[in-house]
Amino acid sequence: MTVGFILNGEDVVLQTSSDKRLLDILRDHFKLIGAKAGCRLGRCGSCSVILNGKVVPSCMVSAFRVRGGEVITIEGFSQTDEYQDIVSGFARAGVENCGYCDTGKILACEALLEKIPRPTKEEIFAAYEGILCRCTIPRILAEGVAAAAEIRQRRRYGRTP
Amino acid sequence: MDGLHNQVFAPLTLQELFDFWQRFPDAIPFAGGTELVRGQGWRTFELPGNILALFRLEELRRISRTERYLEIGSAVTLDEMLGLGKILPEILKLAVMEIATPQIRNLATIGGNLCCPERRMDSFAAMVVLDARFELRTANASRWIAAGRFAPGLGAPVLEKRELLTRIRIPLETWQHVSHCRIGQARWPDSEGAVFSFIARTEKGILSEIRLALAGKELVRDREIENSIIGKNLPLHRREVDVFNDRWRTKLQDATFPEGLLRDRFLNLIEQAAFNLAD
Repeated sequence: MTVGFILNGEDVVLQTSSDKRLLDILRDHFKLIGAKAGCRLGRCGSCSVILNGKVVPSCMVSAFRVRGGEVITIEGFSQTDEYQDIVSGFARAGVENCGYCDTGKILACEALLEKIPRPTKEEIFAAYEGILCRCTIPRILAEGVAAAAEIRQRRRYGRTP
Repeated sequence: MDGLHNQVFAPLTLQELFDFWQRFPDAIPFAGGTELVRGQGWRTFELPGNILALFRLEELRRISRTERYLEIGSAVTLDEMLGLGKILPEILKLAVMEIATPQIRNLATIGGNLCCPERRMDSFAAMVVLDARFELRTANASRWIAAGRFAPGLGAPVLEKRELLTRIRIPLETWQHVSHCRIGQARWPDSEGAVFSFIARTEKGILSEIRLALAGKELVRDREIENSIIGKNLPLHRREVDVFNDRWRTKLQDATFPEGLLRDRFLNLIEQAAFNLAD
């Protein structure tokens, strides 16, 4: 089948089979390896991408599902100011860098901050339920998200409300 | 269309959908698709031969609200439901928040959740206690069915051939007491577990309405037992709660569901919810 969609701001068209996962299309066809093949069951969050404005596990998305949609991978997201807010916040709090869970951690943070600009600890933990991370303790992760929220508020409004 | 693999049809209108379904009666509706691909850890998905993709059908993605009802299209995602905020009844919010993870809730739809027998213990009990009604449509007709009659027993819901769940109508009422508890494995389907939903309304220190249901392998709800405690003064006396609980115990004595530990948990939850009514 022919699948056309917007990938990181560019129109792309490819021939693929409908039973292929978005994860494999990104990794094999477009060589975008920021989304990791973790559990392939939608439970670990390491393959997270933004599909039509929502963070989803790309291993649960079949090829035909993205037709006409917009996909932003961690590679595309890393070109934005929002990404810089998050990595700065994470660095300030001492959130570990990890080859596997960073994609999920960063995109889950983005999804949360777009919905709730100043999340509470409980809201942060709830947002990270779908992200399996063994490298950063939850308290530090929560501090990282809070720091990212503060940096974003300052960048956008020049102050922390 | 893909000659080697699957045939995917993504209609823009319900008419187109039913036309295709008529031509390919074995086609499977695919909204979020999370249930169809769940547990498929291998490289490619094993999908049905003919797929009816529902995500482009605007009609199934509508949310509307009147003074008395909230109407949700069956292809509305669970995350979109949570985005309704305070409009969404509290019991339904608690139920939806317990489903899978935030990322999967961005894909999974409420219609899919209600139609999959394996997911019967997610939002179904909440729908039943809220007295929600489901609109089921075929190419030529539509009918409304009470949530409690949609899937009363084990297995698939009472959908006719080529019938689709299109809309869910939820009465908007005020409930002061809400309790939702998942018994068994958290967040993922569990054939041995169940979901307990409880709502109650009080007026001037009197219990004016109470509804409770347990959904698992089967649905357990008894309007007669619920009515037996309505009208009592709050806080309920120990003896009144015992009588209420004994009625449930008698009803479930010979039932195949719930049994054993699950039955004890259910009775404990009823007792706990009844005592909490005074708070």
